[in-house]
Amino acid sequence: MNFILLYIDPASTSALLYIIIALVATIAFALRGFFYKIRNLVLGKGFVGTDDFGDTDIIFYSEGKQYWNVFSPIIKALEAKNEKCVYLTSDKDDPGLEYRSDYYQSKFIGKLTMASVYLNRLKVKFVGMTTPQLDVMMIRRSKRVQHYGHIVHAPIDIFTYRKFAFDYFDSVFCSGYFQIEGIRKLEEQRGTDKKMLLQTGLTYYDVMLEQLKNISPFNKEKPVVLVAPTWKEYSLLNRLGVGFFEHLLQNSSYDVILRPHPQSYVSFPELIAKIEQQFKDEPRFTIDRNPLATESMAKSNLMISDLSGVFWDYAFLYSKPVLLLKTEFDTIEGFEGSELDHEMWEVRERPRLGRVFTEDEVEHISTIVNDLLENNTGLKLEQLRDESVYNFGHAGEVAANQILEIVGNIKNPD
Amino acid sequence: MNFFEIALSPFIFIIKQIFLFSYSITNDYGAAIILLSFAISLLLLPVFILIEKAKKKDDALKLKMKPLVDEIKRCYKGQERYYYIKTLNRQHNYSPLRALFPVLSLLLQIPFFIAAYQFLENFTPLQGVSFLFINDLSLPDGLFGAVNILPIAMTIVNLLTAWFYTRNGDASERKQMLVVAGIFLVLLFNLPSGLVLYWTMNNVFSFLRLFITNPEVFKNRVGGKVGKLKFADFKSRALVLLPKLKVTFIVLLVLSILGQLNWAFGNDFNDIYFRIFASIGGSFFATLLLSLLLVFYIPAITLPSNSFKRLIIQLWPTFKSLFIVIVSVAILSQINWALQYYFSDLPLRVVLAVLASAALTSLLAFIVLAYYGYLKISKGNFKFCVSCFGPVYIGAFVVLAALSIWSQVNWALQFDFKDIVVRLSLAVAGSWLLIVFLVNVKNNYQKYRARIADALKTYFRSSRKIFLRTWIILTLIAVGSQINWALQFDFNDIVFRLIIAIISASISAIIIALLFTFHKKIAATFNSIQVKPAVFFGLLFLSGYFYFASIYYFSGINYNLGIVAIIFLIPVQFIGHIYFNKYRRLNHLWYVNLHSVLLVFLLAFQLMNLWVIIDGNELDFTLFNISFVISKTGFSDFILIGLFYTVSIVPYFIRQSKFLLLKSSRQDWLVLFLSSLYLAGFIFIWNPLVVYSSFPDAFGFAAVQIFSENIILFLVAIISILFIYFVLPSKVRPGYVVLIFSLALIGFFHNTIMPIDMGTLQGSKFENGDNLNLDLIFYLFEGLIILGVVVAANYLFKKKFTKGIAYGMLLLNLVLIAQSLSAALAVDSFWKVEKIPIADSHTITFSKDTQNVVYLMLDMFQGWYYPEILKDNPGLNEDFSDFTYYPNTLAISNYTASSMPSMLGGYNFTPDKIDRDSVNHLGHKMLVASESFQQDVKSRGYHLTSTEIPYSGIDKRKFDTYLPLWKPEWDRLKTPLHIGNSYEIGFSLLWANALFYSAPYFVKPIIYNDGVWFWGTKESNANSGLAKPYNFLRALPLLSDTQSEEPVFTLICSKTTHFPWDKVKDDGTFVPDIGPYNNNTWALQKVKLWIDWMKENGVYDNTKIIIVSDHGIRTRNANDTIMKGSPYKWGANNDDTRKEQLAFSPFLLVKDFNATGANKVDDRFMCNVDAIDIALNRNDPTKIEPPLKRSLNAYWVSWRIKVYEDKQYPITKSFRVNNNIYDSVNWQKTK
Repeated sequence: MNFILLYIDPASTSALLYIIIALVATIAFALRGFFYKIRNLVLGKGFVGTDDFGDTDIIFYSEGKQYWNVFSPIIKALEAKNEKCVYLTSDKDDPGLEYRSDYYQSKFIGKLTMASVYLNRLKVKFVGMTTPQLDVMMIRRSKRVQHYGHIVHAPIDIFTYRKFAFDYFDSVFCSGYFQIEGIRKLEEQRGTDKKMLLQTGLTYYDVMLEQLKNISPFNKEKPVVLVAPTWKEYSLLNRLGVGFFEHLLQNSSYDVILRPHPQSYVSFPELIAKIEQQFKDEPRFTIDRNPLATESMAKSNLMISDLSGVFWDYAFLYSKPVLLLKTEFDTIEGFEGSELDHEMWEVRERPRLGRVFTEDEVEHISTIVNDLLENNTGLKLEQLRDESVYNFGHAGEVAANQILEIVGNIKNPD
Repeated sequence: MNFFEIALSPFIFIIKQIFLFSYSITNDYGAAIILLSFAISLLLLPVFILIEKAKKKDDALKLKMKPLVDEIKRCYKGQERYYYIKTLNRQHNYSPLRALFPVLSLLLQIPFFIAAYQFLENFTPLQGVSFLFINDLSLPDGLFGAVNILPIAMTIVNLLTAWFYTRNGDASERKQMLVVAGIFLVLLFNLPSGLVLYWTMNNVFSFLRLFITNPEVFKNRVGGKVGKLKFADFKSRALVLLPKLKVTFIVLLVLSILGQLNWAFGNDFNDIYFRIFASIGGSFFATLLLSLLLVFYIPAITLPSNSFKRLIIQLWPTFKSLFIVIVSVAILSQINWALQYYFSDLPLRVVLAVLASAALTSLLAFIVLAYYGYLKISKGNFKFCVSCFGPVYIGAFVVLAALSIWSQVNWALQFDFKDIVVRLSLAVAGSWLLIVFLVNVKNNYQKYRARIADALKTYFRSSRKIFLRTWIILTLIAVGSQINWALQFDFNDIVFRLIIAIISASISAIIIALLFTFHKKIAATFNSIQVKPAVFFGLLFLSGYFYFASIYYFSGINYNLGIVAIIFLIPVQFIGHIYFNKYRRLNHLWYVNLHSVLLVFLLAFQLMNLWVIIDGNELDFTLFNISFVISKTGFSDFILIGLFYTVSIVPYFIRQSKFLLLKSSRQDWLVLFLSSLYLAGFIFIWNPLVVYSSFPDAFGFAAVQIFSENIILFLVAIISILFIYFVLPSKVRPGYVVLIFSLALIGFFHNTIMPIDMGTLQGSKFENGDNLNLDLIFYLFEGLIILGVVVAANYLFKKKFTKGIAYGMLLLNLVLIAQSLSAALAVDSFWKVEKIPIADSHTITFSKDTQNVVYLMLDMFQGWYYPEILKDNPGLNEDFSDFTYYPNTLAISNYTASSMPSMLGGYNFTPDKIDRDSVNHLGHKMLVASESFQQDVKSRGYHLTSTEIPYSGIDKRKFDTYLPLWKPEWDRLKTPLHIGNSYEIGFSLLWANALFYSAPYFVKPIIYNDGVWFWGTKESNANSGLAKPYNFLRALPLLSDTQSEEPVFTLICSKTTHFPWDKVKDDGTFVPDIGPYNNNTWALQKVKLWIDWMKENGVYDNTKIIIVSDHGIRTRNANDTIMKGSPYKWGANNDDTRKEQLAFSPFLLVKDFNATGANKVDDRFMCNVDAIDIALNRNDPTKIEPPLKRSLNAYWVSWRIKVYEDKQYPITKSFRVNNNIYDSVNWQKTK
C-alpha cells in the first residue's frame, strides 16, 4: 500500500490527515467513554435492584446527611398535605433514614457510583436533588422520570458551581434573584432549554430558625467574637496565623471563640495545635470543636471570617454583623462563573454585612472589632436578607407547593 | 490477484474507460492523460465541495468551542474532563462521529489515485509516445539532462496551492503541506512522465478547485495576521538563519560524501573525485534552496528557538532512566548479535542502537507528555524504584537477581552462551519487575481491601435469602435421598453419608446463591442496555453469514470463518438474552417460561460444545436412554445452537425495541419491479447472452434460443418476487422492497464490479476452481459490504429517494440489456445456427493408393505422460511402436487461442508475429491463419477433412469434409457405442453460471461445488455437451472409410484431453473427473483403436500421423497425480514460474509414411509449431541431421482473451528457451 502516499495532492492530504485525526479522536473518545462505563460498572459494587415505590410521584435524592435539613422541611410540608414522597440517600447515617411517617419512605442506595446506577433507572414523575450536574456527570436523566428539580441549598451565586451545573434540570428551586439572572444568561449563551426557575428560598433556614427558638438565651457579661475561617490556603488562619489572635485579644475585653473548619484539623493540624498551645492559659479564648456551630453562633455578637460562606447564614439567621478579611477570589476558571461577565452577588454584597478589613489593618483589629460591636445599627441585615432570600422561614412550604404544582401538571404516563 | 488488486479493479476499470474514451476523442495519449486527470477531478469535485463544507463548518464550531475546551482541559482531568467535554460537544451539537460522516466519502478518492498509478504504469502503449516537449511518456522527461522539468513544475503548482490554501489557516497546516509537496517531488521525480503529467494536471485542477471550494483565499487576507513582510524582516531572518545553515551544510555534505564513498567501496572508484565535487555542489545547492525557502517562502514559520533545548533539559531527568534501560538493552542485544556473528560493523550498530533508543525514548516521552493528565505517571500509586521501598526489598532484589543470574549462567555452562547477554538482562529485569510488582500490590492492597470487603458484604447480604432457601431444599433432598437409599439397602454408614450429603448440599447452595446474585446483578445492570435493531440484526446477519461461509467453504469446513462467526455471535446472543430476560420479567406467560426452559437446554448444549472445543475430545452421555455425542467439530454446532437461540429470541427483541418501519412510497412497486427485472434478467437472459456471444461456437444453439428456453424461468422468477410482495402485509412491504433492491445491488456488485476470477468454464468445471478458496479478508470485506448495501438501501428509502433509485435501476437495466444485446447481435448465430450445407457423408475418408496425413490435435495433452502411459499399458507399445516420440518439445504458448494459429500456419503466426498487426482483432488474424492452412493443404492437392478449428471463424464450406462434434446422422452409432439420448446442457449451465457470479461468496460454493452444480450433474450415458467430445473420439473408427481416390489431409482438434478430464467408458457411462493422466491414457487408448482400424483397412503405412498438443496443463496446484512421471529436476515444486512451465510441455508423436521401428525417442529440441511443417513436409526439422541448435520463444497469455475485441494477445510473460526444456537453467524470462 505504498501507493497511498504517492498519489495525493497537498490539499487532499490535509483533508486526509483531518479524517485520520478525526477518526483516531473519535475512537479514542469512544474508548474512553467505554472505559469509564466499565469502571463505574465495576466500582458500582454491591448493586441492589430497584424497588417500586408504588404510587409515589415524588422522590428526593440526597448525597449526604448534611442535606437532610434541606429536604426535611419540604418532606414535612408534603406530609401535612397528605402527599407521599420517597427519600433516597447515599449516606448510611442520614437522619432521613430514621424518619418515620405514613407518607414517607426512605432508602439507602449506596455511594455515588452505585447510587447513579440506581438513579438512572428510576421511574417517577418528579425527582428533586441538591446534587448539581445532572446528565453531565454520572447521574444521568432517567427516561422514566418526567421532571428533575435542583434544590438550591446555599445563599450563593451560581459562579462557583462547576460547569454545566443546572443545564439539564427541568427546574431550579432558587434561593435568590441572582441565581435566576445567572442561569438565564447561561441558558441564552449555551442555547440550552429554558428551565423553570422558581422563587423558593432556602429550606434549611426553616429548620435552623426552629432550632434557634429552642436555644435558651445565654447569660452574657462580655460580648463574644466568633472567628469562623475557612480551611483553605487563603484562609485567615493560614494567612495571619497566631499573631492575629494576639492582636485580637490585645486591648480588648470581649471573649473569642475560634471555630475552625472541620477540615482544618485534617489539613493543617500543626497550626491548630500551635494556636491551642499558645493560648492554653488565656481564659478569654476558647476553641469550639462542636460540629454544629449553632451554639457558638447564638452566643456570639460578631463573626470574623474570610470566604467561609457560613457568614451569610450568620448574618441572615442571627442578624449580627460580620467582619471579613479582604480575600481575592480564586480564579473561577472551570466554574460556571467563567462564562459570565457580571459581578458575582457575594462579592457585590459582602460589604453590606459589616466591614471588610485588609491584612495591613490586623494590628488594629481589636479597635475595628470594638468599633463594629458598638456601631452596627446602621447595617440593614434584614433588608439584605429579604431581598436576597425568597420566603425566609417558610421556604419548605413554598417548595412543597411548587413541587405539587409541577407534579399536578404532569400527565400520567400511559 | 490479491485482495487489493480485486478491490482496486473497479477503480482501474473507471480510469481505464475514461482514459480510453479520452484517447478515442483526442487520439493523443498526452491529451488523454490530461482529460483523464480532468475527468477524475471533476468526478471528485462534489465530494471535495462536501468535504470543504464539512471541514469549514467543523472548524468554525471547533474554534467556537476552543476557549471552553481549553479551560476545561486546564482545570480538570480524567473522568471529570471527559464528562465536561462530552457535555460541551452535546451543547454545540458537535460529535466527532457526525463531523466524520460526510468526510468519509473522501476515502473514495484514494483508490482512484492508486488505480491511476497502477493503470498508467502498466499501460504499455505509452512507450515511445511523445507529447509536447516530452519525448516518451513512459520515461522521465529528462529535459535538462538528469533534471526532470515536470516534477518541478508539479512542485511549483503544489506550493502555489499550499500557499493559497493555508493563507488564512494556521502555520502547522502549511508546514504539513510543504512536507507533502517535498515528498512528492522526491517520490515522483524519476517516474514516467505520463504519470507525472497526470499528477501535475491533477494538481493544476486541485489548484483551480480552490476557486470553487475556497474562493475566500483569493480575496484579501482576512485579519492580516501576518502582515506584509519588509526587506528588513528578511534580513533579520537570514541573519538568524546563517549559523544554522552552516551546520545544515556540513551535515548534508558529510552525509553525501559518506554515501558516495560507501557506494565507491561497494562498486568502483573510477569517478570518485567527480562524485565528491558533485556532492559538495549538491549539498551547497540544497542548503541554499532550504535557506531561500525558509527566508522567503515561509514567513509564518517560527525558527527553531531554544525552547526545544529547554524541553529536552526538562525532560531529561524524568526520562533518563528509561533511556538508559532502552539503550543498554539495545546495545547489549547488538553485542550479543555480534558475539554470534561478526564484529566488523559493531560501531555502526552501536551508534544506530543509541540513535534508535533516543528516538524510542523521545516517542515514549512524547506519548507520556500527551497523556500526562490521564496516566499520572509521576503521582500514581505505582512506584518503580526498588530503592524507595526500603532496605529489605533491596536485599530481596539483590538475592533474587543474583539467583536468577546464577541460574542463567549455570544453564549457559551446560548448554551454550549464545544469547547470554539477553538472558542476563532479562534475569535482572525480571527480578526487578517481580519485586516492584509484589511491593506495589502489597502497598495498594490495603487501600482496596476495604472496598473489596464492602462489595463482598453487600453481595452476601443480598444472596442470603436465596442461599437459605436453596440450602434447605438441597439439604432436604440430599438427606432424603440418602435415607431413601439406606431404607432400601443398609444403614451401615448412614452418618457418614448424611454428613457428606449436608456438606455437598451446602456447597451447592453457596454456588447457586452466588450465581443467582451475580446473575441478578449483571442482569439488573445490563437490562438497561438498549441496542438499536440495526446493530442487533447486523450482528446476527454477520454471525449467520460467517457460519454459512464456514460450513459451505469450498474446500471443506473453514475453522477461521467459524471463529469470526463466534466473535459476532457472542454479543448478539448476549443482547438477545438480555431482551428475552426483559420481556420475561414483564410477562410471565406460559410460553415465555417454556421458551426459557428450552433456552436453558440450548445453553447447556452450547456450553458442552464449548467444552468439546476447548477440551478437544468427544463428549458422549446418555439421558433418558437417548445417547448424545458431541463431536470434535463442535464449533459449528456451537454457532448453530447460538444462532437458533438468538433467532428464537428475535420476536422478543422486536417487541422490546422501537422499530421504525419504513413507510411505503408510490414508487415502491417500480423499484421492486426493476430490481427483479435486473436480477432475473441478468441471470436468465442477459448474462447468458453475453457469455454466449463471447464464444458462440462453443454452443450448439442460436442465441435467440436462450430467450425461448429461459423465458419461462425468467417470468416465474419475476412473478414470484412480485407475488410475495402482494401477499405480504402492507407494513413489511417496504422492507421487502429494500431487500430485493439490496439483492440486486449485491448481485451487481458481485457480477460486474468485483467478479471473482474462476478462469474459463470447461464443460461444467471452472478452470481456476481453487480460487473459490478465498481468504478470510474477502469474507470480512464482503460481509461488511453486504451489510453496508442493506443499510445504504434502507437509508435511501428512508430519505424517500425512491424516485432516484427507480431511475438508477432503470438505467442499470437499460445498460445491461443494451450491452448484452449489442454483443449478441454481433454474433452470426443470433437467430439460428448455420446449418452447413454439405451433402457428403461426413466420414473420415482415407485413400488406399496415395498418401494420407492425419493431424490429431489433442488439446492440453501433457507430453511427458507418454512414456509413463506406455509403461503402465504395455499393450500400447505395440501399436505405437512405429512412432517417434519427441519429449523435448516446447509449446509456443499456454493457450489454445494463442497456440493454434501457429500450429496451423507455422512460424508466421506465432503470438509475437500476430501482435505486430495492431489494426485487426485477434479473431480476424486467427481466421487468416486457418485460411492460410487451408490453402497450404489444398495447394498440395489434398482432400481436406477437418473438425471445428478452435477460435477460427473459418467458413466450414471451405473444408472438403467437415466433421461436426456430433450430428443426427451419426445416431446409428449410439447402439454400438452404448450412447443414450443427446441433450443440451448449455441453457441451464449459462444461467447457473450467471447466478454463480451474482451470488455472494458464501453462497457460491453452494451453487458450484467443484464441478457439481447445485442441480447435480448427470452422470449417465447421455450424449450431453460434456460427453460429445469423448464420444467423438470413440466413434473415429466407425466414422472412417477408405473410399478416397485423392490424398487426404485430416485435421482433428479434440478437446477430449482437456480439463476437466473425464472419460466415457465402453458401456457408455460418463465418468467425470479422473485426472489428467488417466484421461490422457484413455484418449491414447481410443486413438489406438483408430490406428488398429487403419492397419486392418490397409491405410496405415501410407498415412503420416502426427499427434500433437497445443499446450500442457495450466495448474495452480501441481499435485502428485498431475506430476506423475515428471521429468523436471525440481519435481512438484510450488514455485510459480516452474508451475507455468508445465503448460509449455506439449505432446508430439510422429509416424512418417511407411515408418517402422521400435518406439523411437528423439531428444532434439522441438516446438509444437513444428508439427504443421512436419505434416506438410516443409522445412521439417526432424529431417535435419545433426539436430538444429535452436533457441525458441514461449509466450504466457492471460485467459482473458476477447477474440473479437482484442487486437493483441494479453501476453503477461515470455521466455527464451534453449536445449532441454525440463531444466530451468535453460529458461530465460524475456518479459
